[in-house]
Amino acid sequence: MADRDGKGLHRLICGGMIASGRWPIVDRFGPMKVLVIEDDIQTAAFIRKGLEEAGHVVDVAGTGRDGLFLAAGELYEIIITDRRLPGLDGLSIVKTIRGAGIKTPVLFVTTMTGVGDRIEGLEAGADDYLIKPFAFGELLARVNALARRPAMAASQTVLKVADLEMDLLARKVQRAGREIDLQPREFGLLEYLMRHAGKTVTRTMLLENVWNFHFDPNTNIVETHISRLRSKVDKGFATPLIETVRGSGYSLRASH
Amino acid sequence: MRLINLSRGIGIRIAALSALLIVVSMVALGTAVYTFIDDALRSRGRLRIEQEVSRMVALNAGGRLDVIAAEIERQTLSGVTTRFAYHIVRMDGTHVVGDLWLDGVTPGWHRQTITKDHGTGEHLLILTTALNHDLLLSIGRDVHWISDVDEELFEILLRALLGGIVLALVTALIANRLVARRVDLITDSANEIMKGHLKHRVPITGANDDFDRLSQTLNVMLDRNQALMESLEQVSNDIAHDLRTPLGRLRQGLEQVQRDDGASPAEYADAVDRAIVEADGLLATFTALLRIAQIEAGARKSAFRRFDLSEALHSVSEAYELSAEDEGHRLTSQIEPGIMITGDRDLIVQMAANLIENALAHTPAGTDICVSLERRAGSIVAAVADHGLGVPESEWQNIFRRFYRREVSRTTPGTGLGLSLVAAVARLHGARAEASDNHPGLRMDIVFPNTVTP
Repeated sequence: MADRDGKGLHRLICGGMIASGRWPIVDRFGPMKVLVIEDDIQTAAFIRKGLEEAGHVVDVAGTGRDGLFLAAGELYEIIITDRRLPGLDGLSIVKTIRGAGIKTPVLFVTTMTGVGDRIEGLEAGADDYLIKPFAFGELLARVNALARRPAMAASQTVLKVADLEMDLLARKVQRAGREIDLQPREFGLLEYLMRHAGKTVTRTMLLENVWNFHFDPNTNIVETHISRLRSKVDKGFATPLIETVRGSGYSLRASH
Repeated sequence: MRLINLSRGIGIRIAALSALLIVVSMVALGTAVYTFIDDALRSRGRLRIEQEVSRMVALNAGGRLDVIAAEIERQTLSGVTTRFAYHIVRMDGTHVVGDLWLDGVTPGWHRQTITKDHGTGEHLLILTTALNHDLLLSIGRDVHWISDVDEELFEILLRALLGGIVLALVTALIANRLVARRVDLITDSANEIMKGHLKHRVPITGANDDFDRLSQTLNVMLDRNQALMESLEQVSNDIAHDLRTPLGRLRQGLEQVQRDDGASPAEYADAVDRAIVEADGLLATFTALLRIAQIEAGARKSAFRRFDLSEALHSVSEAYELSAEDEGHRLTSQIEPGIMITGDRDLIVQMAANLIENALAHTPAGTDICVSLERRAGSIVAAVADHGLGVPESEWQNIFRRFYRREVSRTTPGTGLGLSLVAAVARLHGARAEASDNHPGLRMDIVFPNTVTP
């Protein structure tokens, strides 16, 4: 039973969030204008309600053509599009707007039935993908992760979050001047958390980006690694940096 | 119906074609024979006349007309029926000697038909030669017998041709019957199967001909289809059975909180949470089923790339080390570096993860689990081996079946699809998934054919 506990807990927390309808304040970087292209009215309403509760401004397009028309206006900070749409499909929308030089981050939503959807979506120019059905916390975390962050560019060689410092070239980590010894995978995990500091990252995002796992393992891989990382990064410090975000995942605290 | 079958049947078409060929070749052969014989007879007739002319010309060598005339008289009066007819005439048309009456002849070959009193005709072939500047010699011979022979010959050939046509038609009909009978056997079998008799097979006649080979191939195909249908039926039953339990729990939980009038908001929230956990479990099962179905359809082959299998297995093994340690297992790896294969890395990673999770879930704490990869003669073997309780040999095939759960692990959480996915991914890569005894414990081998690496 032990291997199941982590996942069960994760699901339980996720469910709790959906039931109570409260979304973590941590992810609020101010309201964003989000375009949702989704033909299923119920799903569209579910996404709209959740995003609005999280403080975002949402427009919904019910067809691919409407979606493309709105997306081309460049009024949005994030575009969420379904793969299957009447008229014009999500893949064509992404290709068209990328072809027109529009760089608005796109979250591609697919179902498991379309083989190769993930790779196709990313190759077409989408920034991230999400498989239906999803917990709302997952969608919100990805939308927030896609929001443009001015501070941390990919070309940086030193990442700094609070009193934590990571040298990407020397592969060294220090907290408050004290060196922390990390295994390669722990280093990768902390790097991802630092690049998304102040935002929620979900278990699935970590599996995909740190381990390159594109399936849902039945074992608490993420939980055990986070726990190990905590014992190295937070143990002996007054302020823990790695926080568990109820119902969604984890977050690295950006400031004290 | 039969008539339509006959006219459309491939047998009758082949037979008609061969009959036509027989007729054409017989006509060609007959014409050749006829022409050859006719020519031979006619040239022989000409030769005889030429010889007679030569003899007469030789007699005339001395310029003695009276000698030739005497010879002609002698021949004419000899009473021989198959004799030559002679005629010598002067340039001015004056008859000199002979019983052949010709007007205005010139040197060369002539033909003349003489009708006699009693109706019979004589076809005379005549050669006219100049004996000197004043005399023309004509010698003729009846050649009507050549025409007689020709007629007889033509009749014989015509009869042969008619016989040939009849023979060809009979052959055609027999061939058609034979083909039609064999085709009917197959058609009848197909109809029988369509009626629902799935176990019916096309009979093999034992003639070991093309039809038997076709029938054998069809039967192999039918066997496979039947096996597929049976496994499909089995899977449908299993799905229905396995999904009823969580759906039942989902419903019970919701009904319970609905009936409870005094339920607090916290209790409601708790019931919803549990419902979502159940729904997530159901979704996970469906996701796994869909994935297996996609893999088995071979649709994911489009994502095949060359990748480092050693690196992939190493990263999976490493990902599980901590979790294994937490549960009191020892997960180690012996991975030969630099082994490349062509395949779907995501699926291979999931396959390895499933094998490791299977070992973690079904072995007691403290069990050693080893992930290995090695090159062997002609193959590449990836393995996950444990020193747990093992699986009896009779179950080695079954554990790869969808939803199959051994009695001892009924209560272990999981979809019952993990190893089915392993088997499906292996098959997609042309590899075999094999369970064996690890003395003690279970050893799971994925044997890739070595052709995928140079």
